[in-house]
Formats: sequence, structure tokens, C-alpha cells
Amino acid sequence: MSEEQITKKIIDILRGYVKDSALLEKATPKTHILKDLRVNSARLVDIIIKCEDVFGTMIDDDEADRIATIGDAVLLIQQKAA
Amino acid sequence: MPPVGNDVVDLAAPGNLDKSGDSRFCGRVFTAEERAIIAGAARPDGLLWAFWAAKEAAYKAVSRADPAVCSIPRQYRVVLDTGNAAGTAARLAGKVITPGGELVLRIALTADWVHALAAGSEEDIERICQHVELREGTGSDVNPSAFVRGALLREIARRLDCPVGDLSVVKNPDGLGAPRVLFRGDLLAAEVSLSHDGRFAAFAFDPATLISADCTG
Repeated sequence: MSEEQITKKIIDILRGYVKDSALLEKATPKTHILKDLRVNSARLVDIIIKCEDVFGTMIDDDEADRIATIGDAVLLIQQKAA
Repeated sequence: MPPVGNDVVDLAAPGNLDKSGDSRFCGRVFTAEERAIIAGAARPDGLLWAFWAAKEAAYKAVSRADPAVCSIPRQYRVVLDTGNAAGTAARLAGKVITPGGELVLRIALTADWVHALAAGSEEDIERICQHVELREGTGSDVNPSAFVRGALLREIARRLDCPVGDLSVVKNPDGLGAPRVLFRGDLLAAEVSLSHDGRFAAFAFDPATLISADCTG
């Protein structure tokens, strides 16, 4: 799966948790999921679980702890798929 | 400055409902011991969010001194005092054992919200000013961050006997890290903790630290 495809899927996942969809329209790899998209920490746990389902992978605690931005999530999925 | 962190959870917010039945969420967030206590509680969802708020409050407190401290929820272990474990009381006490040390914990549990406060010691936590407020309007017309900042500044203005306009909340340029308060352009030593979720907003700070940051050496 290409970086672009992973990014699109992650944005689609985030769409279910971001109240202001306009924030996602201008999202970049540097967009901070909690601060910029105003997702709360409990929803970030839900997002990680959803990523496991969508990408068919397991994300452990240390890996989850490193996800701050959209780019972090994309990179992690790329690494796990490699 | 003594560490302080607080967190409020709206029990009726859509994403917070029936979470005690979400085994993957619970498995990722809570230790086996915490899960057993939640499962046996009179109000499992209330206690689940009380434990969550405790972990969040503790993370906010310890991450001030160490912004790189891990945020893995299971590494923040909530231990309630004996007699609290059923989660039936409106007020719970205990501690949170964190990667950055042990913190004292107080939890308020109502039908609508839970609020957790974490601080460095019993003496510190008794001194801390904390408020949970229902956000006016409760709709998208009120920016929750602006609401909680306004509530905090009104309380500090009352204590300093100054106009609210003399105060402002500042954050790091990257938007990360704990907020601080400026008084007539000077940074106050006070570490403040802000939180909002759904219909509710909360703040906490140590009134003893409402002095210029320059005075703290």
C-alpha cells in the first residue's frame, strides 16, 4: 500500500472522530491529532484500535505512544507493512 | 512548582457511553486489577471514566517536568484507598503510580461527570483551587477552550483583586505543553491545568503560586 493510500485511509478513520471536518481538509503529515484536530485522548485510543482493524495489524503500547501526528501514524503503518 | 493536573469527563458524551463493554479499549487502557475493579463496580462506566480521568490528570501533572514522559495509560496505575474500590462514593481518594513518581489523587463522581485532580502531596492537593463548570450554551457556539480559559482567569482575577483584562493564558508556540498565566505582561509562577469534555469544563491551580515567576528563583 502506498503512502498516499495509507494517508487517505487514516484521514477516513479520523473523519469519524473529528467534529470540525474543515480541520481535516487542511491536514498535513505534521497535523497534530490531539492539538490541531481537537481529538481528545480517549478518542485517540479508539482511533488506534480502528487503525488495527483497517490495516489488519497490531499496534503495541510503545508504538501507540509515538503517534502524535498524522505523519507518525502513516510512518508506523508503513513500517509495519514493510 | 508542585505538579498539578486535572481532567473532566462528560459521562453523556457520545463516545463515552457504555465504554465498560468495550474490551479492546479497556484492555489497552487499564491494568488487569483496574479492569476487575471496574467490572465489579456499581456504576462500571462511572468508575471507568474516573480511572481514565485519574490517569489523564496524573499525566498532565508529571509531563510538566518531563514533557517526554510516556503517556501509555496502563503505566499510570490508579490505586484507590481502601473502602473506595466499589466506586459507589461521590468522592474517591487514592494515588496514581506514574513513570514520573507517585501522585495523590482526588476524584469527584456525579451522575453527569467525573473530575480527577492529581498533585504531588496531600498538603498540595488540599490547597489546590479546582472548579468544574457547565459550559454556557452547551452548543458549538461556545469554544470550549475559550470558555475554560475565561473561567480560570475570572477566578484568578478574583483572588488577585484585579480586572480580568490584566490576565491572559499563554501556551507554547507549538500549542503543546501546559498553559501559563500572564499578569500585566509578567509570567505568574502558577501552573494551571485546564480540561474540557462535552458539556463540562474544569480548571485547577495552586493559589499559593499566584506570584511572579521571577520571584521563584
